Amino acid sequence: MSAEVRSRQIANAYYNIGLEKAKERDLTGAADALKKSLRFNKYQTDARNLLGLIYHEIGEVGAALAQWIISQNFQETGNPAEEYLQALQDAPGYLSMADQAAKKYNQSLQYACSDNEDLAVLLLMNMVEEMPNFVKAQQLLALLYLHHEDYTKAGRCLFQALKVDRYNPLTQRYMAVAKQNTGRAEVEKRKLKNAFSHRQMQDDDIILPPSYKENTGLQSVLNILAGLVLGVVAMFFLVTPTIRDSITSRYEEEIRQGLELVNQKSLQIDELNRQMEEASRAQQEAEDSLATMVSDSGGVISQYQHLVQILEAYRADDMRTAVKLYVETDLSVLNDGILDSTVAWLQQDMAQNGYQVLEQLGDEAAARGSTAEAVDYFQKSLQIKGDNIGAIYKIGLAYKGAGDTDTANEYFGEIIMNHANSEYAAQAKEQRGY
Amino acid sequence: MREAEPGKKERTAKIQDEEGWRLLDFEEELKRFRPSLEIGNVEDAIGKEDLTDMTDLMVELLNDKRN
Repeated sequence: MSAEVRSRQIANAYYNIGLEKAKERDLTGAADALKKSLRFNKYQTDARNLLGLIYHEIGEVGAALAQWIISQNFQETGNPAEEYLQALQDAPGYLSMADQAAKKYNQSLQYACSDNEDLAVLLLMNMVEEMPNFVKAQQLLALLYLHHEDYTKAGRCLFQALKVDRYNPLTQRYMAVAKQNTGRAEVEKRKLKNAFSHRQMQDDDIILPPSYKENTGLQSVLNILAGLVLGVVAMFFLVTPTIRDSITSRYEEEIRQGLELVNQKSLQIDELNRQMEEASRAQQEAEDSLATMVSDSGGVISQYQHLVQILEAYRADDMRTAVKLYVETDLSVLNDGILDSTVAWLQQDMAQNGYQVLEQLGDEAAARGSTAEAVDYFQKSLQIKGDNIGAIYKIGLAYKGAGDTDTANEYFGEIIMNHANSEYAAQAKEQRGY
Repeated sequence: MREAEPGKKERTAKIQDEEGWRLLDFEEELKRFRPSLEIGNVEDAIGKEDLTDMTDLMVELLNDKRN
């Protein structure tokens, strides 16, 4: 499967995730997923169109236009973006209104940043009346209200924002602040007012003696309740039976029809549930496939990343880094058509030159006295060129130098038995002693 | 709370204290807000949009290698 097909698969998986989140009104999460989809495949028309719809929904009409125009450029025929753009152009005054909204928001932001918060609030209040779904504007207005400790108004703005983008983290955070402080601020204000209430008496003010009482609120309530109870009793015994009979006969037929409709709807719901289960299964498969692609160890994506790093090292003439990365890379998974020539070239170059670099690294490690590191480098050299007798001999020397004579003799024996004609055979015998 | 600069009104909201008032640093929160794209600037924005995807990156690397 080519890299291009894989990228398309991943893009489709992210698109499906974005679509599900958009259906749940998690527009922030949906936008993130759709942007990732476009990173893998910029021609994913559905993802780009949906991203435009999301931008439009949150009041960012300019950004929506940009996405749909790009979408149309990438796919000229059979593209819903054309209809979206046409719809915006056909709606009288809509684009002008959206442009004004963006301008007012930008102006309000400048006012807020330059200490003219009152102007900012006025401008935003005016703007969100026309475009209540402009989430950023509602958030900014809420922030300004929170700063002025007007938590109730802030809550109203944030409520509007949550209706559009249900799980927006910034909105939720501000809402938590507003909820925490709503009510408390009002109580504090009332306490303050009562503590400092000093009103001077005027000439026509009357002081009521303590014994005089007008109807208190409680008595009025009791009177009303008594009236209500009497009314209900009269209704129950005199009027209700007649009405009941009339209603029953009139609406029996409608109830029967309603039950039939409910039956039909139940069947439809069952079918939709079945389809939803299938869609969930497909989504799970796509997500599993995506997880496999991007997994850390041995995943295809990580091998591509290694290849990129190797090529970068070549470009920087850093053969040592290139070789070290090469021995950790599993090039067998990169079996697409596009990269075959690159992989073949790399393997050939490593076979010619790479093993010598590793052998050199091994020599340096042995000179430093790092036996384990030296052996590791020599072994990696053998991975690339298995018949490098010099590397085998040096492994033996390294073990002997470290005092592990038994292991050293195994390697010397390997040379003596299997490579008796090589230049290292005599030296190996000498080192082994027999 | 931070000290206000001379001649400038104090701009931070309350800090979370033992009574449980939630904290918002107004200046820090303002920085999160970015301007909105106006209709007249859409063309510029499209020109500046980064449309590179994974396939473009791989092709660029291969071309660099061949050269």
